[in-house]
Amino acid sequence: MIDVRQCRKVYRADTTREPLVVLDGVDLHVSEGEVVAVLGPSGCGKTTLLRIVAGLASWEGGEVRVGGAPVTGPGRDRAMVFQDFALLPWATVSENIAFGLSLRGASAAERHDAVHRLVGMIGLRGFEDRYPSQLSGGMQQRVGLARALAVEPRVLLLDEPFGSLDSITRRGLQDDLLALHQETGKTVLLVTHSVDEAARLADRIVLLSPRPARVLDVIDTGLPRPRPAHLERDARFAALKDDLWERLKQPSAR
Amino acid sequence: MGTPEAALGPLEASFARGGRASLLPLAAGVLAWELGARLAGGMVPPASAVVLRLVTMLAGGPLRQALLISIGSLAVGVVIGWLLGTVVGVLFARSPVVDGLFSVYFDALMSVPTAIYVPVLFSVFGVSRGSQIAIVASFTFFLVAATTTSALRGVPPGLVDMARAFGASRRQQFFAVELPAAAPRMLTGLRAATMRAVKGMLIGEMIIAIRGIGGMLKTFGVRLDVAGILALVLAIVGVALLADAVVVALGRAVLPRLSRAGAAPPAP
Repeated sequence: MIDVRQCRKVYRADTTREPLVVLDGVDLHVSEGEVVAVLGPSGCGKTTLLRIVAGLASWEGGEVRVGGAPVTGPGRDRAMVFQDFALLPWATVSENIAFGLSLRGASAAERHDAVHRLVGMIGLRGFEDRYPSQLSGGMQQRVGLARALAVEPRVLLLDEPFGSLDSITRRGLQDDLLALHQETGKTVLLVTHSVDEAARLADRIVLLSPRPARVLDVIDTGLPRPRPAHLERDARFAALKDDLWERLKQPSAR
Repeated sequence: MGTPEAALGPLEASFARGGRASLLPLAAGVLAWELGARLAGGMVPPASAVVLRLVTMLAGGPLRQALLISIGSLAVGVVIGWLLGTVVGVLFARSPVVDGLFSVYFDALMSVPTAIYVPVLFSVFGVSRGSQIAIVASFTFFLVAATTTSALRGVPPGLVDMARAFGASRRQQFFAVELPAAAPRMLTGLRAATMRAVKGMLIGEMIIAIRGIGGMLKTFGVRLDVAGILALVLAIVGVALLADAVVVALGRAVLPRLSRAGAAPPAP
């Protein structure tokens, strides 16, 4: 579904400065229905990579394709969830969920149906007329998820979606995301700096080095779907995380 | 044991809430004015005399005529100033070319005391209603343009980014995100600009025309009719409060969500 080959991103503030290589020939492949996590330290370029796939950023080398078609900009096949939620403060929960649809000129009936369906799915029934300022962080991000799902994308792009939340809320939302994935079977590309989160959510984990980013490793989590209830007790889970930490300590491309 | 936190007593709490309690200083001030003027004598008439004079003037023709003239110029001038100011403000915010070329001139023109435009506009429009309206518009324009630009530049870029990610065109980004995000601050700017417009209306009338409230002020000033002048000042304050109330009501009607965002009170 997502095909990134030798992607190179060079950032240049102006011609007087040295160009900054952000991504140095990154390969990334995500099959349909897979959850892939891009894991790396802050500033390594993983968000840049996600934005390139989303069609929000340009790149200077290599190929980027989604669903076989080259990426030329944002598209109907991809929807994004943001770390800081990015909800419109003057719009209600319903209006925020329907935002992507309203941009495409969906009818009121379509918007209403989508909102009705998704509000139940994210567990915010009864909150349709509330404003973001009246919601907790976790609830706001649920709205963000619903907004992304409302446009029925083929791919969900999540940019450190739970980074702004406390760990208790984060766990709840991670479980919700797992359930949503189970239910919808969407392809998910997730960017995170949390080893635990990557291990918990992903089928495969792509480890990125610090800038200039290269792929250090691609690891199969080998954990079953649906995830067992007490993942903490699973020996494979602990071993996986241990392995990831070890690999992250040696930032040299293999 | 520690120091207990200071809590407001019941009387202080009711003062802190504002609302009707804020009429107390006014009542105290009026009382002081009344007693002070009666005891001291001299040129300042007591409050009661001024209010009486105002009521008498309102009952008669000339003040009402003058009010209509002034308010008329104010209304038209503010609308023109706001339309032009919004357009220019949007241009500066959205076009780096316009900003690069013209912002220096805009800043320079804005820093000139606006009263200087009065004779300039007078020489262009002559002694006419147009002159008056142009003066009010010029007092309104700069502040509206400046706050519009600043409001648009203050839109959280994350929101615009999100809209882009969902496929919003440049036009959709502007109308669906930037404008609503900027609206509360733009309204605050309009309120402040309206207050400036009232001043412009008076300055214009006093310098040029001999009609309207400013004209009457000038006439009374020449005659040293202090009671009349003070009565007119009360009328002007009334006009200013009315203008502000209208702007706020319009704002609430057009942007019903504003009361949630909480529009800030205008700076004088």
